[in-house]
Amino acid sequence: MNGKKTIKDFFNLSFYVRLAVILLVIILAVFLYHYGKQHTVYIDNRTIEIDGVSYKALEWAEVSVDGGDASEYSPRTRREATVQRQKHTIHVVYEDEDFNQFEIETEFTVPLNETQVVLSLPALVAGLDDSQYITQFIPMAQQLGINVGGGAAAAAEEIPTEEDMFGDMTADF
Amino acid sequence: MQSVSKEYNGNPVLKDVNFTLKEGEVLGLVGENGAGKSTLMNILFGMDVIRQTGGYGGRILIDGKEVKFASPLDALKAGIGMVHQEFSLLPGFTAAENILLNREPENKSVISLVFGQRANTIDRKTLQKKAIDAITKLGVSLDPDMLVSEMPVGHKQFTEISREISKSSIRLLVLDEPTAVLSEKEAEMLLKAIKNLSAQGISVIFITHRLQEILDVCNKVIVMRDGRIINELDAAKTSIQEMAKLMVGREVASSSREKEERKLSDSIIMSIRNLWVDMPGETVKNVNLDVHKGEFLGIGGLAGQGKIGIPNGIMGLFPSGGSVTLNGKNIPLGDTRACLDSSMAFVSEDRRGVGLLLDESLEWNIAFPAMQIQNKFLKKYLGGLVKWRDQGAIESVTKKYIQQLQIKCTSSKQKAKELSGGNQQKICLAKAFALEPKLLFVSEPTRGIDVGAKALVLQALKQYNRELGVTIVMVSSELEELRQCCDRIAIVTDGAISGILPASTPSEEFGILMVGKSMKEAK
Amino acid sequence: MKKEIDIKKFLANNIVPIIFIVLCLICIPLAGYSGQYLVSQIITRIMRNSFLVLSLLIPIMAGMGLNFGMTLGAMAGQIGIIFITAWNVVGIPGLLLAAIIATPIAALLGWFCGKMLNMAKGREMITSYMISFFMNGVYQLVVLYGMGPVIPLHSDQVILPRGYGVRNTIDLINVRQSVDNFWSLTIAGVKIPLLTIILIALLCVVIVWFRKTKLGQDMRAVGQDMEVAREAGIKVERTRILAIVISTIFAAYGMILYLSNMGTLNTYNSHSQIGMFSIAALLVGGASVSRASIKNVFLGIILFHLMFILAPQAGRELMGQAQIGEFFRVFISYGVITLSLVLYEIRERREKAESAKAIADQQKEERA
Repeated sequence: MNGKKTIKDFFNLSFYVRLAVILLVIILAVFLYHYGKQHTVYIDNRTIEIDGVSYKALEWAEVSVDGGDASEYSPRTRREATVQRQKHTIHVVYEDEDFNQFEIETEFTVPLNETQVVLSLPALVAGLDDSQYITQFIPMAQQLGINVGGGAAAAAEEIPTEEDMFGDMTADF
Repeated sequence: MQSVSKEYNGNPVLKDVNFTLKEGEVLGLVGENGAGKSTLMNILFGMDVIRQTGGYGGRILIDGKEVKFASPLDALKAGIGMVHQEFSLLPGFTAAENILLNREPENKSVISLVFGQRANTIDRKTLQKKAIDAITKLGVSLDPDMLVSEMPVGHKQFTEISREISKSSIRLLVLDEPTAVLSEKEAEMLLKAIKNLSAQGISVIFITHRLQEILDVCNKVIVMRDGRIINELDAAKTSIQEMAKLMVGREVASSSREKEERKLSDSIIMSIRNLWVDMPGETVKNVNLDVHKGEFLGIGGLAGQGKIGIPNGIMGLFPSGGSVTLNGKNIPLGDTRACLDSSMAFVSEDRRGVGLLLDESLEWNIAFPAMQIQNKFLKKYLGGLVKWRDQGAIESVTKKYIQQLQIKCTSSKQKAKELSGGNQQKICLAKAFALEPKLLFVSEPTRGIDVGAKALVLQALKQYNRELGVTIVMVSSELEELRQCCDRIAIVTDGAISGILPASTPSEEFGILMVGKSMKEAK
Repeated sequence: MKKEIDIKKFLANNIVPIIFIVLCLICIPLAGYSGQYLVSQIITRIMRNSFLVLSLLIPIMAGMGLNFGMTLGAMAGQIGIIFITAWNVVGIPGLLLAAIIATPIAALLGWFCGKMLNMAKGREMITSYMISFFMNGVYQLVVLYGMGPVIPLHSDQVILPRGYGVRNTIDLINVRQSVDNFWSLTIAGVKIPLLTIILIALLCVVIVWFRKTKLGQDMRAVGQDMEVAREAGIKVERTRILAIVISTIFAAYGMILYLSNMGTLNTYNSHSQIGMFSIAALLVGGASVSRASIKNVFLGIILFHLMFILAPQAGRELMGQAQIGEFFRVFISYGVITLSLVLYEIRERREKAESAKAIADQQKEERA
C-alpha cells in the first residue's frame, strides 16, 4: 500500500480515463469558443474599392442572415447583425440600375478572432471571395486619425482606486 | 504464534527481557510506573519513538522468524493490534464507523476512475455487517449505531477493541490498562471478552494494575521492575500479595532510614469532601481527605489514577467540584486567586508551562507571585498611590533562596530557561516559599531531575516543613520518595483515596493499595 | 421540566436565526413591500447566492471552519468571466467556457490556500481571511497590469483605453441572465428560472452524495480529530487540501452564476464582498463554525437577504433616510459573523463543562 509507485501503476486505467476526460474538456472548451463567440457583422452597402477595382453600391437590396428577418438597404446604408459561430448563410435580393432583380444565397465565414467585421454587399454581389468582401472593422475615428475618446477622455476614464479594491460593503449584492 | 522473545541490552530502560507467548495465551504484564512496560510494548509495536532514540537490541521472533517493524503499520500487518490507554475514537461517528475507520467497504463506481478511489461511496450495509461481526467475535453487547460521544466509557473501550479485532489478520492483541477506566461490571464483561478471544486463538498481552484481574483471566504473569523481568509466574499458582511484593520490590531491609514518628497535631488545616476534577488523564472522582496542621502528607498512586488531579483541581487549574475548607473557611473551587489569597501555594508538575516565566530573571521569577498576590517587595509612595518595586529586597530574598536551595546559577539575574531541570524545580520551590504559605502543594517535585538534585529538593521541603511548621502536601509517583519525607501517605486509586497509612508501613501494603484492593480483601 | 430545558436549549442553539426572523417580522410591515415583490426578490437572490454559500459546506465538514478563502474561488470565476467577455463568447456557452477557464485557476489557488492552512492548523479562519487579502493583491496586479500586455486581451469592452488593465465595471450584457432565461416559468407574476434551480439542486445532490463517499467520510473523520484520523491511516493533510480545493472550485462556479445573474462585474471588489456576505448568510441560517447543513444555506439566504431588501426601505420609512437602513444591514452582517464566532466558543466550553459534570454525577451514582 505504501510501496513506491511504479511506472506501470502510474499508467493504469484511471490515468487514461483522466487523460480522456481532460482532453474532452479541452475539446469542449475549444468548441464552446467557436460556438459561443459572438461576431458583429456590419453589412455595408456603399461603393468600395478592392484591389483597384471599384464596386458600386447597390441601388436596393434586401438582406437576411441565417434565414432571419430581412431588412432593406439603399446606398450608403450600414446595418449590423450579431451572429454566433463562424459559418453563416446570407440571402441577398438586389436590383441593379435597371430594376432587374437578382437573388444570391451564399455562405461566408467570419474570421475566428474578429469580433467586429464589415461585410461589403457590392463586393459580395460581384462574386468575390469572402476573404475579400469581409474586412476588419476599423472605427471611423481611427481611420481618420482623430483621437476620439482618447487623450483627455481616456485620462478621465475611471482608473480603479483604493476604495474600489477593498470594497465598500454598502454595494448591492 | 510460536514465540516472541526479546533481548534488550545497553539501555537502562529495559535490560535483557525474554519471554514467550503461545497462540491463544493470555499474558499478564504488571509492574510499577517506569518499570518498562510501555517501552517494551512500543518496541513490539514498532513505534517511531524507539527508532528515533536509537532502536533496540535483541530480537523479536514471530512464528520462529525474526521480524523488525519499521512502523506501527508493519506491526499491524503482522497481526499485532494495540489498544492504548487513551481512546482514539471519533466522538461524532457511530461505533460501526469507528470500528472500520479508514477500512470502510466501498461501492465501486465509474466516477472513481476520474476522481480517484476516494470518490467511491461507502457501502453502509456491509460496513454494518462487518462491525457486527467484530462485535460478536468479541462477545459483548454493543449497539453499532450508537454515537461514541453518547457511549459510556466501557462501550468506548469495546469499540476500540472491536476495531483491532475487525482487522482480519489479527493474532496478538495488546491491551494497555483497559480496565482502568471501567466500572466493575464493564470490567467483568471485558474480561469475559478476553477469554473469548483467547478461545479463538488470539493471543493477548494484558497490562493492568488490578492484580485480581490477572488472576481471573491470565495464563501467565510477568512482573517487571526497573526494566527487568523480575519473575514469570503461573497465574493459577500465584496470589495478589506475591505479585504486589514483586512489583514494588526493593526489599524493605535495604533502606536504612531513620524512622521518626512525629505526633501529628489534632487540628485539621484542610478538609476535602467529595472532590471531583476533570483533568484529562488524571480524573479525580470522589476524594475525601483531611490534612492535619503542620504535617507532611504524601499522595501516591499509579499514573492516571488521579493523584495529580487533586492539587490541580483545588487550585482551580481544571474544572472541579466538591467542597474544600481551609481552617474552617470554605474555599471557592476554580478560583486560583482565592486559593492563593488564603495562603495556599502550589508547585506545579508542569514547571515549564505553569511554573516559570522562562524568559525572565530568577529574581523576577521568585518575587513575582509574592509581589502580585501579597504586595510584598513594594515600596509605597504618596500614601500607597504609587507602588515601586523594592529591588533591594527582591535581590536579597533571591540570594537567600539561591543559597538555601543551592541553586546553580551565574547570578540572580540569569534567565530561568538557562537553568537545568533540577535547578528550575528549585526556583519553583523558592517561588512558593517566597509566598510564605501556610499550606503548600507540591506536585511531582522530582520528576525529570537527577538523583543529587532530587535529594536536595526533598531535603529542602522536609526542612521547610519541620522548621517552619508549614503544612505540605506532596504528590509523587515515587513511593520511596514519599516514604522518605512524609508523615502519612495517602494512596489514590481510580480517582479516590484507597487508604492512608503512616510512612513507616512496609511498601507491600502500599503496593496492594495502589492496585485497588483494600487490606481486608487481599487477606 | 425536561421540555422546558429543551426549549431553552433550542433557543440557545438557534439564537441567530431567531433574531433574524424577529427583525424581519418587524421590518416587513415597516417597509410596506408587496408580497409578490418580496417573493420574486427572494427567489432572485436564492438563485444568485446559493451556489456560493453551498461551496462553504465542505470545509466546515472537514473541520476547517468557515472558508474565508472562498474569495479565491470568486477571483478565479471573475477571471473566467473577464476572458469570455473580452472574447465576446456569449450566452450559456460563454458561461460554460468561463467555468472551464476558472476551474484550473481555482484548483491552483485552492491548493495553495490548503497548503497554507495545513501550516496553520487550529487557526484556519483567520489564516484563510488573510490569504484572501494577500491573494487580492496578486489578483489586482494581474488584472490591473497583467491583462493587456502580458495576457493578450484586446477588447474595448474590457480593457481600459490606456491599453492595459481591466475596467472598473464590466457590462456583462452578453451573458446576463442567460441561464435564468433559458427555461423559466412565470407563476403569479413571479419568474421562476428552472434551469438555475436544476443546477442548484444538482449541487445539493452532489454535496449529499459527497458526504457518502470515502473522501467525505475521511473529511468528517479529519474534522473531528486529526490525530485519530492519522492513526487510522487517513492522509490528513491531503484530505484537508482537497476540501479547500473543492470548495474553491465550487465558489468559482458560484461566482460565475452570481455574476451572470447580476449582469455587471465590479472587477475590483465583487469578490471581496462575496466571501463576507456568503459567510454571513450561512451563519444567519443557524450554521456554526463546526456544523452546517444544506438547510442552513437556504434558510440563511432567505433571512439574510430579506433583511437586505427590507432594511433600507424600513430605514426610510422610520427615519426618513434610506442610508440608515443601508448602514444597518452592513453592520448587522459583520455583527452576525462576530456573534456566531463568539457563541461557538461559549457553546464549546459549556458543553465541555457539562460533560465533565455528567461524568462526575454518573460516578457518584455508581458509588452510591
